[in-house]
Amino acid sequence: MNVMESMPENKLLVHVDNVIKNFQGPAGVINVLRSVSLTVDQGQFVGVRGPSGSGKSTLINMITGIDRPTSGSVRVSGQPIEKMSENQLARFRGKNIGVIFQFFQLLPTLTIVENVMLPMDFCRVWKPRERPERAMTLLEQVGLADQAHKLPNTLSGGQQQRAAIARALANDPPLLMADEPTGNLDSKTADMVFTLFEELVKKGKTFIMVTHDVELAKRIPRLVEVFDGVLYENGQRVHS
Amino acid sequence: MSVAFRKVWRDLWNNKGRTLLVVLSIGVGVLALGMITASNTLLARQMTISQKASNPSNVILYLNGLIDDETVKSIDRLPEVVDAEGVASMNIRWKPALDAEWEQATVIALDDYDHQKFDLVELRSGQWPASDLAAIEFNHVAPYKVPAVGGTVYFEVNDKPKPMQIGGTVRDPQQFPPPFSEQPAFYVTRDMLVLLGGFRDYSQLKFTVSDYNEAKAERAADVVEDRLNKLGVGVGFVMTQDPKRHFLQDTMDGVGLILGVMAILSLGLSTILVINTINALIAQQIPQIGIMKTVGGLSNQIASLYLAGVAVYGVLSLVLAVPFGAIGADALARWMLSLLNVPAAPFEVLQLSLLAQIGAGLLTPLLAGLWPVLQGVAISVREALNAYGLGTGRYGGRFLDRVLGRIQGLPRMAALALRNTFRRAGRVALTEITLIAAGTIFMMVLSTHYSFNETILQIFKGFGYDVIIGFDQFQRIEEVVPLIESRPNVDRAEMWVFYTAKAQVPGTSGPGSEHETFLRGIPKDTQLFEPQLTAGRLLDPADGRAVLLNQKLAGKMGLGVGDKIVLDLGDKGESTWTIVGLIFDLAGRDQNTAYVYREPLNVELGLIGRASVAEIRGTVKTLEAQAAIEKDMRDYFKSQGINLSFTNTALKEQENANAQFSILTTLLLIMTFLIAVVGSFGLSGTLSINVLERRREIGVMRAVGASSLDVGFIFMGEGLLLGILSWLQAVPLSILAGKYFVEALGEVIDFPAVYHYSFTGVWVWLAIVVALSLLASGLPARRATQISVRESLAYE
Repeated sequence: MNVMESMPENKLLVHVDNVIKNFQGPAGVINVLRSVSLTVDQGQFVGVRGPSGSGKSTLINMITGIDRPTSGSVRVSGQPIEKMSENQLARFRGKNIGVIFQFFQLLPTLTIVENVMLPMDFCRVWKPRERPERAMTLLEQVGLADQAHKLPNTLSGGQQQRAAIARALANDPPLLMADEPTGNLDSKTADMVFTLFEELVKKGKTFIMVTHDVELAKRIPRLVEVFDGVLYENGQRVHS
Repeated sequence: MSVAFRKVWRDLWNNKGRTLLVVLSIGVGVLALGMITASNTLLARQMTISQKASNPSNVILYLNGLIDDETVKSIDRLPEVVDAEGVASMNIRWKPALDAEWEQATVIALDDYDHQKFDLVELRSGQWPASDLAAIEFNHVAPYKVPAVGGTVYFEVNDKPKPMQIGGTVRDPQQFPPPFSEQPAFYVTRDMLVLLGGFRDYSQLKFTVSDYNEAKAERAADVVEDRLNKLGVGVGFVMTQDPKRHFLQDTMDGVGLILGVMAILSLGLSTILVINTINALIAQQIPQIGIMKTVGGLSNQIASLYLAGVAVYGVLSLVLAVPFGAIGADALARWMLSLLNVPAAPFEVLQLSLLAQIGAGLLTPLLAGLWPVLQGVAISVREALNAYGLGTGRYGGRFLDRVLGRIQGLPRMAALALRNTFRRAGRVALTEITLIAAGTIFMMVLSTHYSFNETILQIFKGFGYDVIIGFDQFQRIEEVVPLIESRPNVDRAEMWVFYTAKAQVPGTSGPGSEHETFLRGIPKDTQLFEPQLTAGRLLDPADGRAVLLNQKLAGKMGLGVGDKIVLDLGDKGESTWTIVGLIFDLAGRDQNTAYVYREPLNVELGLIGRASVAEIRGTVKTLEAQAAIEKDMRDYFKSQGINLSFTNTALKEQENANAQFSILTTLLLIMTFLIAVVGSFGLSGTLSINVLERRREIGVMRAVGASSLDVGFIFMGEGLLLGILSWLQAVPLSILAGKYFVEALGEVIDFPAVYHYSFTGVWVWLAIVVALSLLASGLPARRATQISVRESLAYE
């Protein structure tokens, strides 16, 4: 199925076009992604599913710029990110993509509010005196304002993940990417965190999320699946 | 403060152990640099100040005979002389109490203590010598157990003890504390000298020249010597002094240079240590670097964060290094100045040294950390975020891994310790460098000490005597030898002639052509003299005017075997001799000895059948036996009414020489200790880092049954293995480099020691490095045993 037809260019946020990703292993070349194409519009909530080792995390890494394709192109907000240098990518990511990890990845020696302010310091989107206020606002949105000055290791997994979400929103990026964000949480907390994601999408954020959770996947409006490096949607292979 | 910089500060604070380790590592190197540069500066400055303040004479003539005030005045009137002064001195026996044994002392008498001209003796406490009061060199009070001011000493006068009260202490720039002196120096009036020794005239003549330079001073000394010779007074030896530069400045500069090199080496090793530690720190921070890049951090922003942290290490190291470096420099300078009898200045922090320390303290960690930080922040986000799990998946790929993997039969824990040691080859290499450097230098310093001692031993063996005595007057050989040999425990006595001459290359004249030479006339049947020949042959009884020349003097004069040499015997005239051999000989001043047969020398001196020095071989070679012979000779000849000018024992002289060189080796060992400290920090740091990096592995080991002892054993085993490996590498290095080290040191202090390797040093260092390794690995091993399964396997 060709999903490029009749999509106005200015609503297109993510465009993965014919991406191939190979890794060199001890046993030879491993084709992790095989001519994968995907487009995501602004405001969409997209879930990515697939068995272990299918290439879904690699696909996410292509979009966040954490990894680069062997061939093909990846555009986010119209920018060809596979052509950017590391520094350009870092800055672009800081301003345009909020990344939420499975294992939270909060800096252990910074408090929660400081973790949220960290991307603001790097990207300087906000003036210095605006940053603490914005960080507290974000923490309020995720229900952690009263934990703002605590260190990550004093919080539960769910609280840490909510803090990570607040951090991802620090520079108000249009796109949020999450790689199994509820993988380390119990079902109740996972549900709570997922509800947060839904609210963010309602507020206009674009959200792409890798998940194993069958129940949560049912709540995601658009699902794509990766099997053996090939992308499928609604049972059909997605071509560029 | 930006949030990111707060992270840096907290990382430092939360890892206090690691922070302390890095700070100490940098601090030791910076401390060593500051201590040595400051002490060198203090030493040079104080020596110069002291030299100038003492208003030094330019020439000192030690006379064979006495001169009176009129003679001094006549010398003073010579056009070459600006001012002249005489000093009277004698050897005397003294004791601190009536029931004590007599010991040797020097008594010095100045004409007017309140109006001295040169080499000013300074009153330190009490009062100047008076009619019934003596003074004592303050440096000699404690070592020679002289009573304090107000106490009484006894001088031997006409075989009776004459009491004398100590009225004051003085500082004489010409006197030194042991081991650079052999007897105490007392100061009296000239009138008291008459009572003690029966004379008041001068045995030394000092004078100054205008616009001093060495050549001018030597020319003036020649003129004065000629005048004295005409008056029938011989000159023993001549010393010139630069008024602006202490005569030991060159030696101290050389020692300072060697210590400076070691301090820089210590700083360099500290830097290597810091590289290792920062490498590991960055390695631990890789996931966090990946996150910072993910949330928008640029490489240069992240690099500046970590470099800021590194700079904090530098600043903290200065907090340690600056004060302790200043204290150490002051203590070191004070000690060395006390050996030179030079007053020390009040404590101060030297600006230049402080700047050097600040520069080193800040730049060293920054330079050391630059590469690891830049390498670390250059990592891609993907690689950084993939760093979860046990190890990096790379072990087993290298040749070394496979070799170690094939070693069978080891207990599992031992195999783990062995293979873990080499997992991080770069880190191991840097750790080993510091330990190997410490071990190599330690063993080289011990070999240096051993080489000096062995060389001195061989030189004294070459002399062959146990006791040496000098007579005031030349004695009839055929009379005095039987007297000596009849005394208890004496095996053999030989009469030698000691004479100070001037040596010249034939056909040369003018300033700089004459070289002061200590001539030794030896009996043709000598059994005691066995010199170390470096060229040519020994003297042959068939030789006429043949000479064995000190190889150092020969080098200065550009002479070799077969060449002629002119010996100027003062008022006895000149004669030409043939050099038949060169010898290595420490005796004399600046190794200026020459050995001839006594008989041809006596012909030139007009003293046939006479000699003034007896070299005595005893039947037992112990310090006590030699001291007993020495005492017996003094008592016996006193009873015979024959005056002795000096006595000494070989073992005492040897001990004295050893003690002087021990000072240098002590200094070197202090520096070696600092380097060893850096090495043990390196080891401790490496093992601490290993524990941190292998937390999850430790957790897994514990989960499958490893006890605390098992875990501790692995890390202690790694530490021990690294220590012993460093020892194995340091031993051959120290053998190879030791020879050059001893040669270089010998050049600096003008003592060409023969190289002897100290095997004792090898075992001593092994013991030290094993102890250091166990100590250094103890804390990290203990930390490893405290890691629980839960905390190590939980995601952090």
